[in-house]
Amino acid sequence: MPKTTVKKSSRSVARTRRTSAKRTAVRDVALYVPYKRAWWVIDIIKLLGSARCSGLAVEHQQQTNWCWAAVSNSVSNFYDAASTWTECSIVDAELGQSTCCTNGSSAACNQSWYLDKALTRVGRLQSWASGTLTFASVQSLINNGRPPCARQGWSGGGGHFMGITCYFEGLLGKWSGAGSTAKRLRITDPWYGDSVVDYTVFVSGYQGTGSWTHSYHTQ
Amino acid sequence: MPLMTDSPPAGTEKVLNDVVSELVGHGAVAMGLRAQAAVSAPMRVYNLGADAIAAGKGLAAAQATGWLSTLTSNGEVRGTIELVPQRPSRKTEGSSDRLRFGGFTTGPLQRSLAASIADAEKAAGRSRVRVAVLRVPALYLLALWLHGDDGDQLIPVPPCPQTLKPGERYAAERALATLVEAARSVAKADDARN
Repeated sequence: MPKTTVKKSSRSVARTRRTSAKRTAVRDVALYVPYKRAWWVIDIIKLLGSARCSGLAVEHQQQTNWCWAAVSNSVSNFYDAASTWTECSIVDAELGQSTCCTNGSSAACNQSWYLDKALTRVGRLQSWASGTLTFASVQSLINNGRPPCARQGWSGGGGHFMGITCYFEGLLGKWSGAGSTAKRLRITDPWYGDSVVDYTVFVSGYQGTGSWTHSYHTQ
Repeated sequence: MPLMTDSPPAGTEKVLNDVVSELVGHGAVAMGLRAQAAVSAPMRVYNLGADAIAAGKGLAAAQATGWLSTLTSNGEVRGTIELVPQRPSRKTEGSSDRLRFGGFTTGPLQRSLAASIADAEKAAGRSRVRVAVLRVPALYLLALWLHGDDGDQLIPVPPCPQTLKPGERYAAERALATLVEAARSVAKADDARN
């Protein structure tokens, strides 16, 4: 098992050194590298400088195919906290069902669907189109309190919907190899959870093989 | 310590260190005073497309897409850091296996993944098992991919498709066979749906 040593550095958190890295082709995954330093609780918005967040938080999807319902319901709640829509009521309405709130996992209810139709149903679609948004467009939409949503298409078929809730530039990726002008997005995803991702990765490479295929403007 | 993973490309530890420094130091991961952060050694991540499952191609069609580490503080899982290959450029041509920050993800799925790794480690006993992460995003499946004396095995991370039981150890062929029907229906769907 390779050893790992930890040293304090005046600039970075810690430096790790693997002493026998080339002797073996495999590594022990239980090996944890400790970072010893006292951390302050810091407000992300203040310290990320140009970061701005909309406040959109997409809830977890209740069924495996309900990302469209989770996103549209969350957008509805974002614009109107008194919204009475729920994931399952949107599914019932869109799929012409009546049992999805009691038997959501049934084949009739647990269906893939269209986000544009679900957003139209809850009255929150301004427009949609195939393709990506530029980083500047995302900034503008979030600055105006209109967080966009996106569809990722997976290599090999299928897709997934999520919201884009924050943007920021330059800080997180400064030393991660992407350069000092790195652009980041905070994605609020009903399945994978919230993530900070590189803009270029969100365009192509989200969760490994996703490609940003459609964009949705909300209102 | 039987769970093993491939060695990541040279320089990965520095990238990981820098990412953690940034995430914590700039507040993307809020930690209390004197909290101690730790990352797991990176595990290789593979993606498998619905088309490959529908065609019965199996794990041979899985595509390596990056490396994943779990970030914890004081034993609590805070999320996963994904490192992806550096895009080839003039500067990096010939060294496109270098990694860069791809994303930091938080949520129940990441906590389940960390718990699944811990469970698999306990269950592995003395046998040497190689481990990776397998994603089938079109079918909402995240699984541990174990390769040992028993061949390829998959352990679905909860929540997972209904045809599989979370936490159960499956022969890979058997697990993927349960997904063929769903994969075919995904392949038939048009390109504006999920």
